[in-house]
Amino acid sequence: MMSKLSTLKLSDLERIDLPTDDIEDFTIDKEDRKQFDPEVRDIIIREKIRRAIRKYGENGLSIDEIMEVTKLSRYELTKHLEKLNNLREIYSQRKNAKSVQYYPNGKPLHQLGIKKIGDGNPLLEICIAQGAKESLFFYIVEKRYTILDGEVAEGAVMVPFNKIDEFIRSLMELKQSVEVDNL
Amino acid sequence: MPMQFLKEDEPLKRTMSYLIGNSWVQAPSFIPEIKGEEDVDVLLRHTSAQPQNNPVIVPANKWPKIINNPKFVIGDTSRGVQQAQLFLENHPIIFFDPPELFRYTMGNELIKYSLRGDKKLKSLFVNLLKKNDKENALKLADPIFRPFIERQWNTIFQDLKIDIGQISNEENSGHIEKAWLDPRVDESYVQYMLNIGNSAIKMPNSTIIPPVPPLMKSSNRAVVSRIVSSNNAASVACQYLSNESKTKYILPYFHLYMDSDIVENSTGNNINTALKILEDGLNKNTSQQFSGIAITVNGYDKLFESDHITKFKMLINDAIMIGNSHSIPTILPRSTYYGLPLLDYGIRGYSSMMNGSLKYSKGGFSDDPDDKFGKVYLIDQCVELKKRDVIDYIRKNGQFPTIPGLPLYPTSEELLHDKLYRLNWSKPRKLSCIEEAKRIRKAQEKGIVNPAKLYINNSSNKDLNRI
Repeated sequence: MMSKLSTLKLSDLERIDLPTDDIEDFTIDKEDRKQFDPEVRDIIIREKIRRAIRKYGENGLSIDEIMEVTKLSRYELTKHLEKLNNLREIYSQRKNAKSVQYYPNGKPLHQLGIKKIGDGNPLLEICIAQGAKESLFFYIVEKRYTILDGEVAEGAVMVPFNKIDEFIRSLMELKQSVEVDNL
Repeated sequence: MPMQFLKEDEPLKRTMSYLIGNSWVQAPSFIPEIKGEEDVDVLLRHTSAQPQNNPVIVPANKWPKIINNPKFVIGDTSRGVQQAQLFLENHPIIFFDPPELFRYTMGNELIKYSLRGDKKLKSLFVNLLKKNDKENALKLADPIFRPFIERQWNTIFQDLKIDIGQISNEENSGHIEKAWLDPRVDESYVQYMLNIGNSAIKMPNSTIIPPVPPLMKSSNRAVVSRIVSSNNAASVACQYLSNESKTKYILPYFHLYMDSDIVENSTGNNINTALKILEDGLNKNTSQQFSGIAITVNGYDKLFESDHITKFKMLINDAIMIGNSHSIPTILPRSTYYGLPLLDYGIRGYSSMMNGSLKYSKGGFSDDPDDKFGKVYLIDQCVELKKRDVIDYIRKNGQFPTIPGLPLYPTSEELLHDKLYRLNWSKPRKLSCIEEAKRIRKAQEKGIVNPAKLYINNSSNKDLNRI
């Protein structure tokens, strides 16, 4: 079966029926990536890392292990791991002085709906995500929109499903303290 | 990702709406097609003539360059130019590669498009050609365009006024559409669609009508297969980007670009081929792969003058049924006023370039000085008038029919300057087609049967009255 998105040819599609799920398995190698716009290249690399960590990282993956799975350079990998970490799509834990492990941080369940807060910048987008052992989180992403870049995620926070009441209560208390201060 | 892209409007269920991104578009709708900055300027200055969620078709490969022009990003209140961002939030964008660029000898027009409308790249391209370095010049264009460019070097050199002597026949082989079977198109199509899809998914609401080979009478099985596979490849690329985006999706239209003589019974491909392509393409997988059907017909003028119009109506009717069975709309890009009578059959959108042309022209000089002023659409009569006819009409009637937000007549200065005439008069008046679509929808709401036919019967367009 096809394994490379960029080398997927029209003639391949003419020969076989392509089940939608196979898109999950598409990857591209270094040479192929040169053909893409830089932005598309970043998208594809990040997706590759994300999938590798989701598939193999339940018990954590070191950077060397991710390099082995994705065949990406350490420099490229570090840059994108940091981005994915900031977006809370993965999280990292330092095991010892030399080793950091990376874990998947939940899969957004978009079928349950997405809530958007705000018309202008920044936008907040909230959905429910599924983490390890089927635990649920509220996944809150901060985004900015420009014509040049479209909607770009700038950061995110994961709030455990069972902590949401406490989370809201804390926010309300903070809000009230500001209101009291302003009186 | 939604599964239903077409719905009956509550509570009467007499009209329909279709979905682009997260915007429901009231059907039928007239969709203006932008070619360049002049057209964007017109749309941003006449927003009151465009209802909320009325879509716009844009040139896919040039769009990022056009819309990121500072004059649109910032807007210009002194000239009434709305900020592009606000406009984009209110109007879904349909990315469309003009199909004639992948079919005919278009010379400089193809070069401008393949270089994304980037003037610096174009200048570099010209300089390389002056040194006869075709190889490096070609590398400036996206790989998908290269075989199409190679087949028309002679015209490109002529258009760019570069004299390097005669090009060999091998490098100027014509039959541009045959480039669709070139291995480089085969290999680069998915990559091109990922790049286009990445631009499209940045828009608040958008879809893509992918480039496809033309279905001609003479198209062989390889070409027919490529029509289906290029649509599928566009879908694969869009699904990949949607999966990556997580909160936004983009799903292309299934595009059929066909010659009008397909409806004739003579030897070669016919209506059955066209319908088989649609059925095979849309039924390939059980999961939703397309958010609509777009049928671009080459040769409406010939079709409406011929006796085959009934067969064409049958084809459109069957295509709409196929679309309805998948809960997706069927639209007719580039149909101009020829799309009007087909609204009664269930066509949800029809479109026209702002200058009223059916396709990009190769350029060159015309003998008629009025041509550069463009034609003006006259609502109710469903005809397009040249400048001299406009002057004649205004002499007799005082002004054009009143449409909120649109000018009623050209000023004396505009009559003298073609650019001003196009910017302030002929192109804005094209938006009166949106009013036409609105009137037909209103008639549908009232339960009037075949409102488009009734409307056309009162027009002076003889071609349309044949249907």
